[in-house]
Order: sequence, then structure tokens, then C-alpha cells
Amino acid sequence: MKKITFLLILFINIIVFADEIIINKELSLVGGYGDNFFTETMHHQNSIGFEYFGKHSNDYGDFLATDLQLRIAHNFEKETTTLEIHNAWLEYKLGLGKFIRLGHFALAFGIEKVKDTHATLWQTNAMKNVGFKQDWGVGYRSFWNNFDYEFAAQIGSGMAFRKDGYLFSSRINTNSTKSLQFAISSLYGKIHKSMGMATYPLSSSMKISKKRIGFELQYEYADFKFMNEIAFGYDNDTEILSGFSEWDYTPFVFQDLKLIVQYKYFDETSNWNFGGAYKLCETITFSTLYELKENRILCQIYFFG
Amino acid sequence: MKKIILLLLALNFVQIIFGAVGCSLNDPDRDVKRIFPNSTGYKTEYISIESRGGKELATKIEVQLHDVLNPKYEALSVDYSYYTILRGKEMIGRIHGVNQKGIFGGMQLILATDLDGKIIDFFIQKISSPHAKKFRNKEFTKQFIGLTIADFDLFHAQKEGKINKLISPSEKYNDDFKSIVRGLNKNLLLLKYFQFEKEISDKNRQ
Repeated sequence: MKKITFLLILFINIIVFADEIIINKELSLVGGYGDNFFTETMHHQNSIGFEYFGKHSNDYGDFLATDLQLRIAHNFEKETTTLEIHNAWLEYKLGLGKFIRLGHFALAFGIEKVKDTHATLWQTNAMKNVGFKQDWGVGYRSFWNNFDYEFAAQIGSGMAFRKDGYLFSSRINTNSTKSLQFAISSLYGKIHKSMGMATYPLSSSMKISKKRIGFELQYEYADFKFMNEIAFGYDNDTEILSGFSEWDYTPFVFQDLKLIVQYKYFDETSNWNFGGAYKLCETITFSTLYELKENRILCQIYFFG
Repeated sequence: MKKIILLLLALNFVQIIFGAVGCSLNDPDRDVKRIFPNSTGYKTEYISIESRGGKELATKIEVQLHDVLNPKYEALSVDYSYYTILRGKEMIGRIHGVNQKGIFGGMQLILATDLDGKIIDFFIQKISSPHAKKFRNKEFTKQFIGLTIADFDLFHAQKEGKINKLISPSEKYNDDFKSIVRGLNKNLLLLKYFQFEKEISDKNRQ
């Protein structure tokens, strides 16, 4: 806990000296009905938190960006309260288009990298594939012609802070402003096996060796958006195949509403999800999700602003 | 206690923004390098209508835009990202974007302007349309190069000018073309009030 407190104080002190600061508060209220409503994943818990983003610049331009995003989540079934660090990173600019990142940040693997599902019911396969979406470590990102690329070397621990693991990931994608996008990514490491763990308190975890290669395709046409990911590799010696597809439709006459269908496949188990999200105002979104296999419906009110 | 005092003191010297940022560049470094190949860096600023004049400024913008701002998508609290492009310490231009509602969803319209506010590049970062390719085509976007806010004022005054001569790339989805013209008009109006009027008032204060 001392390490975490020290890091938080360090980040806050660095951010307050930024030239531009953006502060957002967030609140997620989740309710639902089903045979097994509460799960181990953090996305189905009520939580409250904030994001504190800063840009540092001098006469020659921006040279450092900082972000601290954390929340306190409560699990009503287990009556436990946990601290979860989402973002806690510093990104130093080495030159135009060259960045080095340090802290707790997203793995350079999979469609989760561009989708960022930390605050939504609509999850990718990232939690099943890896067990966490972000980790502590160092990363580098840049671009070449029409490609963006990044590498990360992290500790294989997720939100918690444990030393005895490692995780290397890399991702190359085509220009993110195009309607059609492709990406290829890979992951290799010995990580702590976990699902939705907290930064504090620490839960016990065992280690697992992971290897993955992933391919992504995204396409946007009129009011439809398609996101697809396929990943395969090994968990220790067990072969793993993972597939993810999401189809979003925004009715052009009613653009506050987004209808969503998901198909997920992981380790010979598949699932269909149906639902949508409705933007109530600039800062509040109402979402609903029906998971066919679990026969469970979930609703969420999410505030960010 | 010392840390808290230090923190509070520091907070007095920075610009703090509460709320979400509207239209920012997905990949600013790539865009800066492409549009301004001689640049060495850029400085990012987040500015909202609320912070620069609130309702009074919103009314001014609405009058000159000849349209009202949508309270859900163009709220006064939304911050716009301004990228001041530098060569060494010298400012050589700006990049700034706006969100604009289109037929099939939100569009992100990005302008690069010179120091006088004249458009030197225009591109669409995001568009949902069956004719997205036509709207993103250089043949269409290059028509806007050279325009300034004065051209839009002339258009609203129903005088013959450059805006009347713009050609829509899609007859079927002409409303998206009209939305793009509105979005760019809003973009240049925000530039005028966020940057140029501020520069004038800063000079007068000196």
C-alpha cells in the first residue's frame, strides 16, 4: 500500500505542475437480473472515481503528458470495497511522433487498445485472454508512413503491484482515421493469473505463461460499425483460440441511440450479447446488455464529466 | 501538510478544465508532420465557450452562424483542442477541429489555418456516411483551402462569393455537405473568438 500511496502522491504532484489540466469525475451504477448477476469482473460493480489529465509544455511545445484515473468499486454480494487504478502514466515526447511511456497503462495488444472498455458493460475478450487490460511498465509508440506501432514491457501483474512476472506486447495498426483499419498484435509473458483484481487490497494469484498473436479488422459504413478480433496462442501448454465480433448500429433518425450485438468465443465457449446505449445528455449514458448464455440482463447508468 | 499547500499553490497557476474534451486529433503528431513538414513541435490548449464568455459568446456565435448550437452535442462546457504549431519557438500555424452532426452520425472536421486564420488544409477525421470516401476525397476538401471567416459572412449576407461556388460531392447526401459547411463556419468562428479576439484583448491590456 505504501508503494501505491507514494506513486499516487508522485503523480498528483507532477500533474499539478502541468500547463493544462482536465479533471473528470465518473460514476457507474450497475443493476441487473439473472441467475448469476454478480460476477468476478470489475465491470459489473458500482464505482466512483475521477480522471486527472495534464499536459506540460515549454516554449518549444508539449513535452510531457500525464494521466491519473482511479476509482473505488464496491461489490454488494461480497461486501468488499476495492481501489482500482486504471491509468497512472507519464508520457515523455522524444520528438515529433515518438513517445516513451512509464507507469500503469494499456497493453499493446488486441482491439481493447482502441476500444477502452473500462467503464462499459460491453467488454472485449481482453479479460479472458490476459486477465487484465493494463499493467505497470514502460512502453514506446511511434508511426511510420500509414502505420502506427507500439511496444510495451510490463510486469505481468495487472492493477496490483507484484514483481515476479513479465509481459511483452506489441501492436501495429493502419491509420486510425480510415473507415477500414487492420491491426496485428502479439503478447508474450509470465503473468499473474487473475480476473478483475484490485490495486488494493491484493488478492492471491498464481502465475501462468501466455503467448498470443492477434488480428483485428474494423470497418465503418454509414451508420454501421464492425469490430472483429481473432487471437490464438497458449496458456502454459493449452492451446487457446479467441474470437470477438461487435456490430454497432446508430439509427440515423435517432443518433442518441446505439444498438449493439456481440459474439464472443473463447476456449470452445461462445456467447451472444444484445443491447444498446442511449446518451441521455452530454455526460450521462444509459446502457443495457442481455447475455444470452447466462440469461442475464444488466443495466448501467454512467456519468463522466 | 506541506504537500497539500504546495498542491493548492500550484493549482492557482494552471488552467484547470472540468469536463470532457470535444474534438481532438486522434494522432496529432502525424497530422502536424503532414500539414506542417517544417514544424518542430506543437502546444495543446483546451478552450470552451463557457470559459471564454459563456452564454454571451454563444449568442454571438449563433447570430453569425445563423443557427442555434445543439445543447447535447455543442454544449458550452465542451472543450475544443487547439494545436499551436511551432518551428523552434516561432508560431507558424494552428490546427483545430469541431464535431458536427451529420445524417448518419457525428463528423469530426479538422482545419489547419495560417496566422491570419486562412484555411491551408481541411480533412475529415471521422464521418459516417455511405459516401464517406467522396467526402474525404482531396478533390472535395481542397475547395475549402484559402477560405476565411469573411467568406462565410459574405455567404450569410447572401452575396456572391466562394462559398456559393463550392460543389457537393454527393447529390444524394447533400445535407451532409451542408453540415460540413456549417461545421467549418463554426470552426472558424470559434477560432476568431478563442484566438484572435483574445490576442487583440491581450494586446490592448498591455
